[in-house]
Amino acid sequence: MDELAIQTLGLTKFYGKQRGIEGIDLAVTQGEVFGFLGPNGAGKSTTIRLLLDLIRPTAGAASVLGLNPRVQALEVRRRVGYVPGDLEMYYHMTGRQLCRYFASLRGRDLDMMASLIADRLDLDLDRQIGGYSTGNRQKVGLTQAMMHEPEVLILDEPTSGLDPLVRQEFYALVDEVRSSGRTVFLSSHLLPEVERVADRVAIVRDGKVVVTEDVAVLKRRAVRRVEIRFGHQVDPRPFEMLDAVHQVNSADDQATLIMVVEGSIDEVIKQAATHQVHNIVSHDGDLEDVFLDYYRMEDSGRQTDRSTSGGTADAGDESNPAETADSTKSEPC
Amino acid sequence: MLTILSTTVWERRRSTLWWVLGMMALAGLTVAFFPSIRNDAEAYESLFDSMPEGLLSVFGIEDASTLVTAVGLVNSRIYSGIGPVVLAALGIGLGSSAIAGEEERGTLDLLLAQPVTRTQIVLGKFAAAAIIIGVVVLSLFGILAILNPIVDLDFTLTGMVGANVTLGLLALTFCAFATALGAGTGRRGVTTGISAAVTATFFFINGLAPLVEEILWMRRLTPFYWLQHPNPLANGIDPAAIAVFLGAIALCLFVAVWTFNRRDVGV
Repeated sequence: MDELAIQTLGLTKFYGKQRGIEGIDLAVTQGEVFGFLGPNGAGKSTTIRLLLDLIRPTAGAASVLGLNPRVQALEVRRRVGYVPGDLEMYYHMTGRQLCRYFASLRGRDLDMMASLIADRLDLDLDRQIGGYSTGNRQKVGLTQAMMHEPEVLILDEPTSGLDPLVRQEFYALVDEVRSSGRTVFLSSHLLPEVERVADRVAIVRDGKVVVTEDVAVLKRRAVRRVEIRFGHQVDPRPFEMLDAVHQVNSADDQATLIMVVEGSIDEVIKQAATHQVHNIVSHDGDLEDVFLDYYRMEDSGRQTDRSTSGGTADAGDESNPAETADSTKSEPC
Repeated sequence: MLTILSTTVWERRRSTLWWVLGMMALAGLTVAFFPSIRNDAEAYESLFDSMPEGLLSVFGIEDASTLVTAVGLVNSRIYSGIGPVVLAALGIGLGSSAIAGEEERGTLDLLLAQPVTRTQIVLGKFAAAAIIIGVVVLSLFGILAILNPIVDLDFTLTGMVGANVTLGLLALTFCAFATALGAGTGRRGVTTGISAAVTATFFFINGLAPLVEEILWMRRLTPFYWLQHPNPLANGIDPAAIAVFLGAIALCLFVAVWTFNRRDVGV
């Protein structure tokens, strides 16, 4: 139990000249749920596929349970369960046939376990995979990954396509895996999901780990992005003075302010109430951008200078605030 | 490895059945023509004599007079004309779907997450292909064995065994070639295309070489030459030909395993 569940040192992968990941350092201890958070294309799948020896590193090294994925591939695969990001399956098989096939490759009879997991995910194993919806295929993926109770579960965007109720059941399954002392490495582009299930999170951007942090710390900070649309042009400076506000951006029309708020938004609301307010929106879906801005800010001494605030990641939001306010990702306060 | 083998065979059970029916139909139809040819032997002989030598050669007919015998007819149609090309196609289809097909479907990621080595996947898939080819060839052997006494074909058992074993090995050689190409490239379309082009080239080199002195030596490089070395339906198994096929298969499998173990999958 001394080995780390997953460790990477300077893990780097180039596809020709194109960078996949560069210098990824991870240390996932056994028994924890580790979130691997980042937008599509950040290098999450590349990292995961390196762990499983599907692709080979350009530089650096990875180990799973202290084993070299390349040299001790069989041993690693015996002890790991995996759901690929691009999940494709044998469409002419039923879910049960697929599970039996893989169980037989493991030299085990896992019918009971497969049925147990499938039941909990509300999946009918006796239909052809070709006829399944995306969500049901994802459930088959989860079932085959979990049925042999692996010591390390490596899940690449496992909840895509799952409806909210099944997601909750999946989170419960992950909780159980953790309480039995096993490890989960879960990639996601959804911060709320990582917040819900993970103990620690690494945020990846452009092939690099930008932040590794305890989820509890992230939660305590409760950083969010708040967008307020006023009936007239508003001076952002009074908002910049507030303790909870770390960053303020004005939209082109000067009547919309987008700010990063840590903790209670009470004083922001009170300040806003001195103006005519049309709408207030709190963004959830792109929270990791907020975190990144936040950490970047910490690095540069907690500046609130408008000219330096905002990264490339949220450039789209800034250029078109009215649209983001109506987007489905946003939730009114 | 056994699991991969049995699952692959099971996946292919329907298409294999069609192959079996197809080969039996080809054999049945060919043999059905024999009585009428036998009865009109002289007319057919003069017909074939009037055909250009090159045309006959390309179709695997070296001596037109043998066509009027059962051995000659069945050999030219099934064991050197259409048959080998069709079975090469079967082998290429199986070989290119072995690794490249699985990779293009995207299922290789999932399969490689199970405790199997890449070598085991290549060998398991190839063994499955060998069984499928074996079943198809065996059905061909079966139908000829049944028709042999009924139509008075006068085939010997060693001849029939020899011809079918050699034909099966030819299909397996192309299968191993396509397996290697697919394992190395991961692209099914490319694999099928190149393998088909190579097959066609071999086929025509073998057919035209006897007419062109300069390229006669090249015949020995084509599997089709060894298929008819020397007419196994008449003479039984030739050890040299078997050795050539087995050697080529072993070489292809070695390349398949070597390249597949050394590359990134699914990129």
